[in-house]
Amino acid sequence: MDNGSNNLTVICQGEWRGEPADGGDGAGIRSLVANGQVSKLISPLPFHPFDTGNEPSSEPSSEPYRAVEARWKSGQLEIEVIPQGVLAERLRSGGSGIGGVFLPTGTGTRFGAAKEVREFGGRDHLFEPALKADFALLRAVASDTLGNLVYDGTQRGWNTVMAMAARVSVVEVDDVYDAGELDGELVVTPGIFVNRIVRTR
Amino acid sequence: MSVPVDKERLDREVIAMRVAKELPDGAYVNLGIGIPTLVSSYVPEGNAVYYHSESGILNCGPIAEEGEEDIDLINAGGQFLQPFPGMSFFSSADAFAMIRGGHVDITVLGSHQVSAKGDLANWMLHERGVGNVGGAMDLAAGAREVIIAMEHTDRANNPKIVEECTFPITSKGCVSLIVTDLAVIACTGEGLVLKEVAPGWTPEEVQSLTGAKLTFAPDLKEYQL
Repeated sequence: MDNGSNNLTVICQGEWRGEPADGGDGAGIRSLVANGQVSKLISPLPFHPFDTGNEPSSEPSSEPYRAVEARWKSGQLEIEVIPQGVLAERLRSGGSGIGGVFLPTGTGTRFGAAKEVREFGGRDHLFEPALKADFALLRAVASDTLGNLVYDGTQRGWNTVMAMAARVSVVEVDDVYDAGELDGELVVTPGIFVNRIVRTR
Repeated sequence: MSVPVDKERLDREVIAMRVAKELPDGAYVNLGIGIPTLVSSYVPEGNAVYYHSESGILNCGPIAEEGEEDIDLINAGGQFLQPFPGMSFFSSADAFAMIRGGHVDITVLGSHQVSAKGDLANWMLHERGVGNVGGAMDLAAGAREVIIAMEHTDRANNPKIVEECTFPITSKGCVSLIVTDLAVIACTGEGLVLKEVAPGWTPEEVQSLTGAKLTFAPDLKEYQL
């Protein structure tokens, strides 16, 4: 945020991810968006479900949410909504040298309109092109000096996929071990997918 | 027929309780946000049900107590979970391979509308203009069985079960069972079949708050808990 990069395209679960839960120092995606540095969000759940409510008559509530919504409504922020499993598979393809994949998700919906359709096993599938990023900002619990990563719990969900899909992946970890100190059997993301390590302590 | 607006309906917990009876021993189940989240509290004793979350967990446990939250143990809606014996963690790509590959037996989702043909519309509201699709489209298209847990009508008392969805579709013809605060309705090849009605309600009253034709099941019962 401080280096002032703008016109960013951010691929993420939602603008609500990554804000410090305790309201302390630090910035997540919502702060970047509210600060006008993001021009496009690619996300399955752009707004937090508890901010927008699940009923047609419910009103969005929180202040930070409103700041993001205001930028979107004024056209300063483009939002591309993608089903979460489609996003995962597009990124996996991007990181794996695959041009794209045919997926059954979204056939017959607005999301599937204008996409190439092919039938496999009697079922329509939509073509989804690979998706790649220039940078991935990631989190793991620890690495070794070769960039091999181990995770804690649901850190594994997106970080594994995003690490592969970015040209430069930057990973925040609590601890960095010497090569050989992490059990290779337990490494989840091999260091070939990791370019920078930032230690928190 | 008109039904008094304030006529008592079942609460969200009871809807969840009824859905829980649909989860067989050994099932892999994904629960959506809202009423579906409550279902795990009511699974009949002795039935082992394994919960899947798109955040990359299998066999996940209940929502964490306040003060016990772990930022690295969350469900798809960003809620904090308790650690649970036998949990496993995996990538988002694998989480959706489980769904798309037909490995998840049942998903329970909330909805804005369900049509007579079992079309689901739960990801986007016109007035908001942007959808919060999450994993709903993947789940609706991929899970072997889709159960909807929702209120029978919206807050203005408009039917949420309709002939044709007016909100954007999540997936066509995917719903097999609808459990509401008034009724249990099966989606079949021959249309919607009213199987159970809430205590104190008649099938005709339920029909009057439903926007699609219901066939009354020959063995129509009171809501089974």
